[in-house]
Amino acid sequence: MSNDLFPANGSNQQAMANSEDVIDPIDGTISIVTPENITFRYSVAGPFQRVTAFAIDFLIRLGIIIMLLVLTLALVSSIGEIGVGFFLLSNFILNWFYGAVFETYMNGQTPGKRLMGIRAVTVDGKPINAMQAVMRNLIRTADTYPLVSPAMFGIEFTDNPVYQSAFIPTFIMGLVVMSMNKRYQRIGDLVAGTMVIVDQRKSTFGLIDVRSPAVLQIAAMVPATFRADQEMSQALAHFVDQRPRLSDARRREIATHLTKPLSKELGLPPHLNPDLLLQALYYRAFVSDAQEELAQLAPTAVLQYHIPAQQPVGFGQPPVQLHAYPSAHPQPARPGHPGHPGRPGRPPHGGLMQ
Amino acid sequence: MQFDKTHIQIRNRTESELLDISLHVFRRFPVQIVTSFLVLAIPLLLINDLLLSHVLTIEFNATQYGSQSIVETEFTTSDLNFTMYIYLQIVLIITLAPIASILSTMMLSKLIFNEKPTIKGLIRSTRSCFWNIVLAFGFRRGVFIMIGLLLLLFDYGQDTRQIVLTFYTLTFIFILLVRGNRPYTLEIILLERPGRDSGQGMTLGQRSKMLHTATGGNVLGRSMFGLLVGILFSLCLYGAITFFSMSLFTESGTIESSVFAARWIFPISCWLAVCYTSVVRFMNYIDTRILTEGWEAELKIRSEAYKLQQRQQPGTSW
Repeated sequence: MSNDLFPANGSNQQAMANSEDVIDPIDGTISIVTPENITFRYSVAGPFQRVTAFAIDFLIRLGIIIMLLVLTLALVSSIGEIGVGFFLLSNFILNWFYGAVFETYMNGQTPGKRLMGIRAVTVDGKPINAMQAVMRNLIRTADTYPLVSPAMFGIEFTDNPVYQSAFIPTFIMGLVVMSMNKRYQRIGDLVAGTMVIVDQRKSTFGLIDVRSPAVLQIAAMVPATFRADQEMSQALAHFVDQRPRLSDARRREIATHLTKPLSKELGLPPHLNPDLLLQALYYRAFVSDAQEELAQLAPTAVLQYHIPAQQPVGFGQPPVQLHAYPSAHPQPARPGHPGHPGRPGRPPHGGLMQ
Repeated sequence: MQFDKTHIQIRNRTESELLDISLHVFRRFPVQIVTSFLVLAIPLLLINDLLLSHVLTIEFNATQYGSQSIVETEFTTSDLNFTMYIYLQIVLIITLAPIASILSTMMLSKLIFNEKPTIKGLIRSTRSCFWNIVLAFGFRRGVFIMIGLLLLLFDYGQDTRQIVLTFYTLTFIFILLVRGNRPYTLEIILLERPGRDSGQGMTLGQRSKMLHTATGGNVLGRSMFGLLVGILFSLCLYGAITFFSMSLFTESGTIESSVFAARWIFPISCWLAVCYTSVVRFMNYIDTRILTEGWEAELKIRSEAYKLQQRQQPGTSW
């Protein structure tokens, strides 16, 4: 594939020349190293991840204010103007301390934040205290500036001065401040030394069923000593998770990167289908030793090694030609490779990822 | 391409994450993105003003006063048709947005893969896509039709104006639906360089269909969400810029300041929002390709392969 995003020749040289530069990739995550030298990685919630939580909290507050208003109207007839005072006081407390109270007692979360799976913590990753919760919520108003009037948008319903006064928040101040720092801290966060992190990261992987006779056959060839370390397990899991969305040619292209060094390391035949090999390794890493299952399936399936000619990468390519055949024509295991019955499979160089 | 040498971590993200990450991208490359965007946005801003500013004149609005003399009547800003002007301006900006973001998209594609492009170089490399862009956006997406309809507003009276505006609205709805379903057409033209016919590899139509149908209805949803964010962002920017400009330079409520705000502050706010949404659209495009082409998996697989190869080199011990 050759295009501007995937430079073929000339642009590559420039990219290679620049590739020596050290890059800190933008990812919306930050690392915190504890005094014990343990690194924690947090996904920081930016303005657009936080706005939904804010909207939920706003609606909750609005609901409570409406209830208070109804209550006040009911009380005014019996207790007079004290009822109005009660409403104003409640409104003030609700608007200014709603966030602070919830964040203090719900470990950095308001109902909106809990629903959205985000949480306010200190910049060291510790739970926030009451003072920090109060500080970050008191200064919230500054983020809503500048305030504008409906008249500024040409909306002039009446001569009522309300429409001339500025009360519509634009949130530009908050947005600018948040985009100026790596932790997406708004002014209140900067003052209180806090940030908002994503509390619940949904796992992208379940265990995926890759069992097929061909995969099990290859899985059985993999030496018993094979152990996938954390990075290898993650790579295999990512591949198996994403492969249903990929064309066969693209699966093969991705898997091929790892096939050659892995085959060498594990002493496997070089022409194994790369896609199947990675599935087999996934199976071995996450599910089980394939031997038992293979014993049941082996009589009915055997691999045919067939590598088609190089195909262009893209969607809708013809499927990879690897078939399961009845055991009438089994391919004999070659002496000297791990599949041979006379020699238990083991990697030639003392094993990988043990 | 070196996935491990990008300015953006290659991984699949949610829509809100992409909006946040776009702010970070803006923070890292503000000058490059804004400069490359303004190269095309400023001429378009001026063209729009040329096409639309007459709506904010007494002559254009005078027909509603019948036989009253324009000279004798005392006019105020409330006599001008601001609503129609704002509507026409918004529609035109949304229609022209992809064209304005041609160079900023090219710039981003180079920047995130750690290249250092120049505006001249970008213009040179975009030249080969010129006809594809004209075909896709000028004709199929109605840019020329919209401009033609606006030109008709110059000369004809009230009755014809209604017909022209109806066509204008219908064309805009059509454009919205088409673009909503195929939001990454510009990115495909600029970055994947599709062939004109199937003999030259995959055509624009084929590539577009593959990319846009790979994630199902997600594309339309993201596209509409992006539009909504863009509109809200424009309004917030307009409010903020008007607030600051009125506070610092003018006294609000005069005919001059209202017309100035409508003619210049409003379109500038909209174009700034378009600049941001072009980054968001590019990030969405990258995200879709990460998902459909398995970039994230490839990055991890290649990293593991590299480690193995290093280990297998003679004399290397771990």
